[in-house]
Parts: sequence; structure tokens; C-alpha cells
Amino acid sequence: MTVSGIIKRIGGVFLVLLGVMLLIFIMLRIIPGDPVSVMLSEHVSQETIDRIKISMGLDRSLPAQFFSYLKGAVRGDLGESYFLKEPVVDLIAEAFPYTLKLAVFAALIAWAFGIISGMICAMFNNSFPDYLFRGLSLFGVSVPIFMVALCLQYLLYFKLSVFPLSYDGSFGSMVLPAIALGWNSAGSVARLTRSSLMEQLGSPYIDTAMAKGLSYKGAVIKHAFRNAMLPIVTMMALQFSGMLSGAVITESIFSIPGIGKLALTAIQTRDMPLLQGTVLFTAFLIAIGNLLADVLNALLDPRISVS
Amino acid sequence: MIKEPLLEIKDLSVSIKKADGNIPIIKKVNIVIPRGTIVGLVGESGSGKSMTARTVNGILPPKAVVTGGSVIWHGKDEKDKDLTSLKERELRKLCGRGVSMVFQEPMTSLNPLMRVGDQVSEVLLIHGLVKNRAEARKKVVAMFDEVGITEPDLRYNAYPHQLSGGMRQRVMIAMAVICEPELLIADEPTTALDVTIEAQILKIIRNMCTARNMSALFITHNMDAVAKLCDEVYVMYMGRVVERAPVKEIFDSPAHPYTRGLLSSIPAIGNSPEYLNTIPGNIPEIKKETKGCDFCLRCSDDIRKCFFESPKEVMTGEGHYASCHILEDKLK
Amino acid sequence: MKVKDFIRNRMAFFSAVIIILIVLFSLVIPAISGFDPAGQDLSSRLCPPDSVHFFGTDELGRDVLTRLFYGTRISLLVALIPTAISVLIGMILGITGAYCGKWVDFMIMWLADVTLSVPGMLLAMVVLYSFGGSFISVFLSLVILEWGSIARIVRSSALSIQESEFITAARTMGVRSLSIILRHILPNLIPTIIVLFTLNIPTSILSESALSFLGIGIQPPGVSLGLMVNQSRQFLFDMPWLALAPAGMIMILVLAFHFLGDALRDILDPRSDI
Repeated sequence: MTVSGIIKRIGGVFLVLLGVMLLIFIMLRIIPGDPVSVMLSEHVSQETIDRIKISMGLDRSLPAQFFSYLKGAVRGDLGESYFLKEPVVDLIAEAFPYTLKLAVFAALIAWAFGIISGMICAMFNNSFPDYLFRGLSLFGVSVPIFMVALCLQYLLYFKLSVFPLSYDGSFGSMVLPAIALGWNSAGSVARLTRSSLMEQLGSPYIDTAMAKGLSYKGAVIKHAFRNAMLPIVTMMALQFSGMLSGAVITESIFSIPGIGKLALTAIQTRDMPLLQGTVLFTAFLIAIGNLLADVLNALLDPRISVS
Repeated sequence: MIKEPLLEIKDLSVSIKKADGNIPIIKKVNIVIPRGTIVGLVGESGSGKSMTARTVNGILPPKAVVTGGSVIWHGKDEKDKDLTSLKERELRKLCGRGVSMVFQEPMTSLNPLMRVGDQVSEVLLIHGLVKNRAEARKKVVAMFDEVGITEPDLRYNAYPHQLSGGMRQRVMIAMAVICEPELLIADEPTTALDVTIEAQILKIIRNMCTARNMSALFITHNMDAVAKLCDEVYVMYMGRVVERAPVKEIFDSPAHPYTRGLLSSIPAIGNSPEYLNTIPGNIPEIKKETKGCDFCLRCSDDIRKCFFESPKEVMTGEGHYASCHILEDKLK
Repeated sequence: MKVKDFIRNRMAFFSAVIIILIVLFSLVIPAISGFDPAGQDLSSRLCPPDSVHFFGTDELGRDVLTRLFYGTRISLLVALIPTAISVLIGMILGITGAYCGKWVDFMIMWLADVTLSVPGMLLAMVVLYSFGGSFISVFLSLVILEWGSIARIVRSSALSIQESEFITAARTMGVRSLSIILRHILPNLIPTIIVLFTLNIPTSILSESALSFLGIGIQPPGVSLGLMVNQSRQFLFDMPWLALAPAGMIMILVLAFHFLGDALRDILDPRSDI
């Protein structure tokens, strides 16, 4: 990757983040009626509304509001939560470690299972294990996450009482949420590993490796696997940033106080600054994930010089 | 002078497994590769020449199975063993060390993610011929120099996509000969290259074989390359060897109508384009079992017998054999 | 012959049959069961399955079977309409971007990137925050969620069609822009668009059910499969079928559309990389 390529790419990230900010900002302010009265569910006097409006800076013109928000965001200030009366940044910083822990755990389980089963499928194509894991991975991509979570709670907590029902800070209570969150990812990684590895197994360089004296297994591990990993690594980077930002359902079912739960609280308490802040933060994570995927690809594949 | 054989392919048959029965792609092929000789294997695409070569080092596609015959190896290791019944581990030990191979597509036959030098070093390391990577590197650089790669030390670190087709094929040749094998199989090594590069590559293969007293099985559909490189020629058509002879014999007095067709398809300077000869028709679809001579549908002077009986091999000159009913009748 | 291919592809045929059956049931069963999907009967709350209520009743004494198929009807509706709208928008913007190029293309792709870089669930939450949990806002949030990826794929297919010789030929012969789009580019995109439509239906079903499950999508007294799972979650351990029946229905629908989409892609658009 050349320097100008990197600069261009990072510039693109900023442009997209600016767009996200603008989009969210506009969407949260084109509410029919007035944003403050939407935030306050019960009837309050016009006086109170005006007071809150001024305290949140909502009395100024939209561009002025946007630029002051933008200025704050650049300095790391996303405003104050209306409901929890705390800076949004602090709330995010508090919630993020939980989400991170969950995502790391989920990713490890999902990828280990996905890659191994995908490899087995590709190497023993059209055999019983292939059909078995292909069937499983299909369930992986099609079963809704809440169904996975509820089934896990029913089986492993209620019937077998192996794991706790919801998050209590212990390691064991992270297992069920991690499986639920990783479920879809495991399915798609397995499917991609299978197709990518099968494509590489048909490549002539595998014949070369075997003609050199490597066994089939050796050729797969030393040559095909690394080539097959290229698209999978991209997918993994995107999945991980997705897990960090999209665990709303898992966190709500297992009551984990992470980012997703925070966003849900924000919408339930009609806390506009908090919702705005969490959405922006997750968009930032996704953008970083995309960037990371590109960088990893450039590092692993000598053929990519400029992205 | 009869040379000692290095490899004997005896009555080899290979089929592709399909749900509705096997489809034979190689039918009772006999090939002998003497020591220090370059044997050419000629035929159109789909004639089974690549499959024959792949049987030798056991890299047939998964659906292809050996249904009969043997491949007897007379090299140093695994002497006088049948390669088709050798255990996978023993066969892999032989590959790269005793028998090595150069493939058609230098673009895709190299791992795109590995430095070319490391890919060549790998052969030495697999077979334990060097103690460490540094020693391997030294040997590889010397070999790169020998196959005509300029700035070998620099090229060692290049990735395949940074090299031209000719350079990549030189890397493949370096990889194939670095362990000093006794047999080099070259599967259409010049098909994907320019004509000028082709001549260089052929020269390198020739030199390598002479310098090391190495035998080679050279697979091609290019009669011109055969004339430049080979000592003996086998002509294959639809999975059968239809003619075999020393190279001079083939060009001077081709016996089988198919070989004659192949030779007359080479355009010569001076002929006007209207005289560009071709063999009429295409290779027919390979079916389960065929009766009669495989070439009869495209042959210009077939007789009734051609449609019902497979022709036997007849001798038409010294070391020159062909399978054809018409020749048989003529010789009687 | 494409119809023949379709019938020969067993998975696709089977999926199509399942989908047609579910659609028929969702139309017929709520009408003939004799129960109102919203009709409460507090005297028979949380009944286990019996001969009157085949799937039992929920916490307000409503017949689960009736609600299941009524909810399926709503979920299918919510899946089909926004998907159709997003495919239409994605198609128009994708073709426009590919055809106009330059800043128009840049703006469209930037907008797509912006919507795609917000996690779908959160983007939908922002829309639902602004517009409340009505049918229309669920529709709107799904459209905002999906149009971007569709526009991207349509754009890249349109670009590759544009580069083919016959478009250049049409241009050199002086065919006007609009008629190049309508006569040459659009017909070649139809297979891609059909496949995109089919493959986006399961995405919509999953998104809608997730939003309703979180309690921010379809609101009671409306019925949707995701909402049913949410409402019966508290009885998971005593009466698991209450939650698992609607969840299972979602799964069957998603699988069936998924298979159908895969098969359609193989048949209509064998070389595509959607």
C-alpha cells in the first residue's frame, strides 16, 4: 500500500463518518413535532421544554447545532445523556469493555468452529462430514439470533443447568451469549472457508506442491490454506466490528451492560444524545473494521500494492 | 545401442469415475523411457498425454483411477517398484527427488503468496538435502543462475506476479531439477509462452538433461518443439499410443495417418494460406467403450476392418511401430 | 429451458412449495380458525395444546395457532413490501450511478457507504426513534437498511454490462442515453435483480423480527412473529412452544427463501458473485 493510497483510504473513512454524523443528526431532528417533547413522555409545561431546549442547545439553528456537535465529537465530547445525566463518552467507555469481552469470546468460538468445519467440508467434499457441517452452517446463517439465545437458555440453563441464565460477571455466564452472538458468524465463516478452500484445492500450485514431494495434507496446510484465508480474513475483520457494534439482541437477552444495551436503553428512555453518541461510536468501529480488513489483506497478499 | 530403461509404463489404463460407469481415458498405454533420453509425448488436447504423466507421480485428479497396468521405476530409490501401487508416503518421497515435474501454466503453478526462492528451497527442505534455510538459499541462487535468471539473489525474494512468464517457467525448471532427479516430466512447458521464450526454455531443458544425464518425458502438441528437443517420440490419440519411433523416423517417414496429419498441419513458409492443412473433424466425445480404430472417423482412407477391430501394433522401421490396419495390410 | 431447471433443482422446488403453503395457510387459517388473533379470553389463559387450541393459548387467552399464521401474514407483508421498495430504489440509484459516473456516482456511493457503515439494528433504531413504532416506520427503516448494498451490486453489474462491446456499438450508432439504459442495460440486469429481491426477503424477515422482538418494531395490539417471541419469552421454561413456534416459523421462512434465492442465482445468473 502506498502512502497516497493510505491517505486516500483514511480520507474516505472520515468522509463516511462525517456522512453518518450528518445522517443521524438530521434523522433525529426531523421528528414530527419538537425533539424535546418527543423525549419527554409525560406532559410538561412549555417553560420546562424551553429550559431543556436551551440547556441542550436545541434553540440554535440546525447548522450551528451540527457544527458545535462536530467540534465536540472531534475533541471526544459527545454531549451529555439526558436521562442518565452523565457524559455520553463516559457511558460508552463504561459499556464498551463488556461488549469487547463478549465479541472476543464470540469471535473465537465462531471462527474456530467455522474454519475447522469449513476445512473438513472442503477436504472431504461430498462425504458425510461435508453434508453434516454444511447442514449445520445453513442453520448458522438462517436461525434468528434470539431463537438461538432462547434455545440455549432453555437447554443449557433450564434443562441441564450447565450455565447461568444471564450475565453475572462470571466467565461461565459469558458462554451462552458468546455462542448466540457467534452463531451466524460461525455459519458464514464455515461456508466461506469451504468454498474458498475448494477453489484453492483445484489450483495448479497444489499439483506443484505434490510434485515437489509434499503429501496432500501438507500441500493443503502449507500452500492452500494461506491462500484460502485471504477472503476469510476480510470477512472476520468485518464480522468482528459487526459484533462489537451489533450485539443489541444478545446483550438485551442476557442483560449484559454493553454498547447494544446502552443503545436500547437510549431508545427506551428516549435519550437522544445517548442514542446519537452510541450510533456514531458504532459507525466509527465499523469504519475501523473496514480499514483493518483492507490493511490485513494488503499485508497478507503481495499482489495488492495499492488499495 | 539399447539403453537401460529408467521408467516403463506397461499396459496402463486410467478411467474417470462417473455415476453411470467409468469412462476410459488412457487405454493400455506402453511407454519406455531409457536413461539419458528425452522422450516426446505428442497429441491433441484431451488425448490423455497429461494424464499419463500425472499417473507417474500420482497427482491424478480425484475422480481418475488407475484400472490396470503398471509404472515400473528403475531409478536409485524405490528401485524396480510399481509406482501405481506404491504407498502414498513412499511415492511422495520419490516425487521432487527422483521424478520431478514442470507444468504448463507458470502463472498458476506457483503459489502466489510465497517468494519464488522459498518455493524452490522448499523442495530441498522437504527432502532433507540441506541443513538449513541459508544453505538452501545458496543452492537456489546458484540454480537460478544456471537456468538463466538474471540477478538471482534479487529474484529469490520476488513474488510470482512480479516475474514474466518466461522467468516463472525458469523458476519452475529450477524447482524441478534442484534435487538432481533422474526423470523430468515437462507437461507442455512452453504452451503459455512466446515463441522466442519457448526456444530459450527448450534449450535450458536440453542442456539440463545433457549436463546431468537426466531423462525427460516431454509432453507437447507442438511438433516443432519435438524436433528440437526429443530423441524418441510417442504419438497419442484418444488415450492410446498410435505410433512410436525415434525422432528422425517420425519426421522422415510418418506411418500412422494421424501422425501424418499432425505433421502436415505445420505450416511451412512458401505455402499459400489455402494450403494450411488440418486434420478433418474433432476428437470425438469419449464414450464408455469403443469398437474399432479410434481414428477411423477422421481417417482419409479407412477400410471396413477399421470400424470393427482395434488395430495391432506393427513394425514399420527400426524401432518404429504404428497401430493401423491399413499399414498392416500393406506390410503383408 | 429455465422452468425445467427450476423443477429439476429439488431444493428450490421444495422451498417454493413450502413458501406457497405458508402463504396459503397465513391467508386461510386466521379466517377459518374461528378465533380472533387479538381476541382475549381470560378464562382460558396459557392453555397447553388441545383439540380446541392446537397450539394452546397465550397469556391473554388468545389462540396461538391463529396468531402464528396471522403474524406470518404480517411478517411476510413487512418482508415483501420494503424489500421491493429497496430493490427499486437500489436499482434506480445503482444504474444512475453507473451510467452518469463522476460526482453523481460519487454521491450515490457515498450515501450507500454511509448507511452501510452504521450497524443495521442501530440505524433502524434511529428511524424508529424518530417515527415511532408504526408499520410505516418499520417499512422505512428496512428500506434505509437495505437499499445501499443493493445499489452497490446493481452498480457493479451495470458497470460491467456497460463495458461490453454491444453497449459501445449502440453508442457509436447514436442511440440515446435513456434508450440504452431501458433497452440494453436494464434487461441484462433483470436476473440479478430477481435474485437480489429473493435473497433480501430473508434479511428483511430477520430484521423485522429482531426489531419487534426488542419491542421497538411492530407494536401491540399488532401481531408479528418477532413480537410473539418477545411476549412469550417470560413463559419460556414452562411453555417453550409459545416462543419456539413463531421463532421456528421465522426460521422456516428464512431457510425457504434462502434456498430459493440460491437456486435462482444458479439458474438465472450462474456467474454472479452476489
